[in-house]
Amino acid sequence: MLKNYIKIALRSLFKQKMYSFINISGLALGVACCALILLYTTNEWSFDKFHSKSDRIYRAWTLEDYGEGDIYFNTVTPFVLKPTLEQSIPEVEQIARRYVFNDLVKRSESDESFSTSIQAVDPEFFSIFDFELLRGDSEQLFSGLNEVVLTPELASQYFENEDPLQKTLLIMMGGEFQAFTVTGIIEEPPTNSSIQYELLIPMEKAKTILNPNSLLNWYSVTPETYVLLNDQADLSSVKAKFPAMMQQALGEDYNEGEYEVGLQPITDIHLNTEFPVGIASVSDPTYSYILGAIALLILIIACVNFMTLSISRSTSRAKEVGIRKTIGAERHHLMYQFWGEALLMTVFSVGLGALISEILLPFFNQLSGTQLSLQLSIDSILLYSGLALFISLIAGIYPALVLSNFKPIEVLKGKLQIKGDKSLFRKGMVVFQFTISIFLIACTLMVNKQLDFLRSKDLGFQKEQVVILQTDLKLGPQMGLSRITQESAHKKELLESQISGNSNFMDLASSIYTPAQQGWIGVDFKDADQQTRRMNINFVDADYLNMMGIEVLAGRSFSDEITSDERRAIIVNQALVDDYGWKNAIGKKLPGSNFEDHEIIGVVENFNYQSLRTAVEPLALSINPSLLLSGIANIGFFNSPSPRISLKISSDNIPQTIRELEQTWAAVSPGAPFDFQFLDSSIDSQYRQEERLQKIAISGSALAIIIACLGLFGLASLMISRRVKEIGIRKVLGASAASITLLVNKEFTILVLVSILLAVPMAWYAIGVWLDDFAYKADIGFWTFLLAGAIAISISWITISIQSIKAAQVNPVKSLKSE
Amino acid sequence: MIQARNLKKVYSTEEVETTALNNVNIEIKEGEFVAIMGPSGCGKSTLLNIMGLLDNPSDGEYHFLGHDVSNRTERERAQLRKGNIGFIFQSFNLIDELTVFENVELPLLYLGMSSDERKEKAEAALERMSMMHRRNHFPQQLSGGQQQRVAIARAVVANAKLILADEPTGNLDSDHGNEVMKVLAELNEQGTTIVMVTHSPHDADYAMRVIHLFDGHVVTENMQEGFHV
Repeated sequence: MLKNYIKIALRSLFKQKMYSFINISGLALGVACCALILLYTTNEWSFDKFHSKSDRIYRAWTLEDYGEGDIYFNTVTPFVLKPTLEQSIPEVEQIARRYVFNDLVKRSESDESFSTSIQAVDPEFFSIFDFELLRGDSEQLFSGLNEVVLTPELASQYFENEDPLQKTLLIMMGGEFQAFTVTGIIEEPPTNSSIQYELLIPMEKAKTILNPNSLLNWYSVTPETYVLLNDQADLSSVKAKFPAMMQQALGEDYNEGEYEVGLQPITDIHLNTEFPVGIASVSDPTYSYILGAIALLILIIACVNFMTLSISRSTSRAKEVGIRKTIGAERHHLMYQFWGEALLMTVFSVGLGALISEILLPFFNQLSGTQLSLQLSIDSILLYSGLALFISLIAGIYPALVLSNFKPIEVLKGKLQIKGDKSLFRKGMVVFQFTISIFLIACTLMVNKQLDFLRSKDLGFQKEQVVILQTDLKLGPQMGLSRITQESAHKKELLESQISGNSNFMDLASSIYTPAQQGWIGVDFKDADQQTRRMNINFVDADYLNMMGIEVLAGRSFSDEITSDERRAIIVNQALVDDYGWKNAIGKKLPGSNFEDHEIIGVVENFNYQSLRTAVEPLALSINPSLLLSGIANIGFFNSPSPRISLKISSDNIPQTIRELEQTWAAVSPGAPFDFQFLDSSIDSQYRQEERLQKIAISGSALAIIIACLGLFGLASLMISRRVKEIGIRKVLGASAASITLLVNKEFTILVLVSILLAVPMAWYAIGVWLDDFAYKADIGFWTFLLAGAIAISISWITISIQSIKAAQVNPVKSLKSE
Repeated sequence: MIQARNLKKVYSTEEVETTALNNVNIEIKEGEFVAIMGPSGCGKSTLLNIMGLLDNPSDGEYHFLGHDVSNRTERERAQLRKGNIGFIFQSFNLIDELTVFENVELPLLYLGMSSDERKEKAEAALERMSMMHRRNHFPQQLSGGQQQRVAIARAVVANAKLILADEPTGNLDSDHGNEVMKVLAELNEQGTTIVMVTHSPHDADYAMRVIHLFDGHVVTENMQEGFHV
């Protein structure tokens, strides 16, 4: 029996090539999407679970709450947290801190140096986590200070084919290169690890270049602290011990509820966006949800194709059902048969889908920003078989029920009226598919529009032809903010003298931060009424505002000629003036009592130094960092401060200008890497997530409309084949080919119009939710929906017309005779 | 074998009610060869469908092999049909996707026979219809007469006691038609009961008895010359 079913299923598959093609290719695309998305989401959900002790590893966090929204929530912690926890909490088995910074690394004095991400970790790092030590002695690791552990990839970058163990590597620390001995090789971190690294040094070594105060201070947070509890530990009783621990640690500074410590499971880090981002990267689960939803919708569209096409083409299978029933088949025989056919077709589709997903994987990785790979494993086989079974159940059961219910005499006498033929079901399915497609198209158009808006909005400064050159100046024990600001100004002057007269360089200025570096430095202070005032700050040289083309609304810009500017001048933006409720800011002072002598000399317009997700926040600028730093109570760095030189260059022959700049820079700052970017591209890079969403939306809606049209194509051809006689009669009676085409297209056009009506409010809502993330948004124009609808209608017309024009041109004699 | 009393069949659509059979009384004994004749739309095929348990009468009694089957569910009728009744149609109604052998084998599959048994019986039936040489062909590769012979092989393969033929020569030229009629006559001689709907007086000559229907009524019942029940 089974053999017979398979045989007939295969033969009807090959006989009806077009329907088989539509069904299989549509489903295969759906399956490929689903498989990739499942791969992505399982990867997302698998983060950090590979550690054998993952259920006992936690990341510590601190929460300072001084009331009135004066809250500091951090997943990077004070250095002293480790010894304190070790002393106070008996359940703690081991603790490893981790701190990351970038600096230069080279093989030997004569070699070229590369900026490398350096991780300082405690020795416990190697026993808490499951990162495998490939070479070296884990017991002895980091017993000395100048040891370094590398990943194989980084080791081969510096040592090529030589054995790296016991070799020396020079690492820039505290302003000078220091020699480190390679004592271990550690495996590359898995892609689903929150903790990524390439070069590890002992935490004790890193401490030697840090400000000694910050090592003991409870209010300065730097490393992540990972805590391994013993296997008997009860989390709630551990947590209960924290307040007493903090009371003892802070002594008389302790006020109940002001300083909290807590533990976050390591497996929770990757997808939890409620916690502030520490060193470990966090992924916004929204994108997995959007991806998942799109994949599911595409799969459903493909399944719907399968159902409607199976039922529609059942006229051609009806005779077989009749014959089988007359010669003894019972309903369940036929249900098995048709479901089996659905299963067979899905097995083909799933196989093809697996192949397609393999081909699309690199493209998908680009879309989702991941490095996933497909491996043939028991899991993936189970996944694909489960998918096949699921789809065949969804897509096969309904046709099986309908087909097996035919009355034999009716079908054999050709009196068959298929139930779904005129009913709402099939129309409903077409509407459903097009609603989804139009929804996706409208969302895509809107994402495009918003991105265009973000890219073209006037930010209030010059962003084209501006090159940002990163200096190698960094904070260190002897390098405070004032010092690096001065050094940077000095380098800028040197550079200026070298390039003066070169018409490719038009202007230059130095600053600690440049636009598109989040909120620069966030600070607050208490005013005379003890009210907390917040603002962002940045330190610039006298030329910066002018060079960047930032408009001064009142007062004046900084000037080299006025020597007091460096000592006491502050410029604020309009947002600060509005926030502090001033009418005229010129000549005023910031309302904090601790600031050094200063005066506001100018107000600049609200230029968008942050991304357009946020409205412009209050900002103060000074040449001299101590002026602004003196009066503040709290400070938060969004990026570690490192001065940059901005250069406005001519638009002619940019590659040549960059080459000249590189040569000049090598002379001005010997040994420093030539690290530059264009301001406009770094501004655009703030919207990478949105760009990813745009790509996902474009591919998703394209796939959806393609699959929906495949189904529509099949449906139209089936409908026409059933109306051959009607079309023949109409032509005999004088209908033109055009009017016949119109007749057929009309029926489907109505369905697409209904879909537009349904899709518009859904898309309107979804787009509104997405746009809420932006302080600056493009209008949701009605034309977006009009265009989405027009696209859907034209694509469906092209699809149907291929069939209807053909049908309208058939000689009626032929069609009536065959009937 | 078959007793029908006051059989009535009414087809109703939303607006029209059509009476296809009206108080039809028929009795057919085992071993008979009966032809049903009448103009188009007189109810011949409706009667045949009820006799073949493909349809229920609207009213009246119908006994098949001693069972009252006038109001059985489709499932029950299918059970009784299996192995007892074979059908032959004007348009052959072979399954295009199956080969000659597979078409003939199909009723045995639904009877749950083993593959060896099916092979034996299907080959015997094909042999009987002289179609063994075409066993691996598909229906479209055969002439009309050959297709009908395959259909007959399929009807007899399960040793059906009753064969119902609906205009079996309607789609055939006279040579092939005669061939098919001879095969049916042979089957009847071997003991199979045959009920045949036909337009052709020539075909009806092969039958023992001819029943004439008109507008759903039995008009006449004639014993053919030379035949005796």
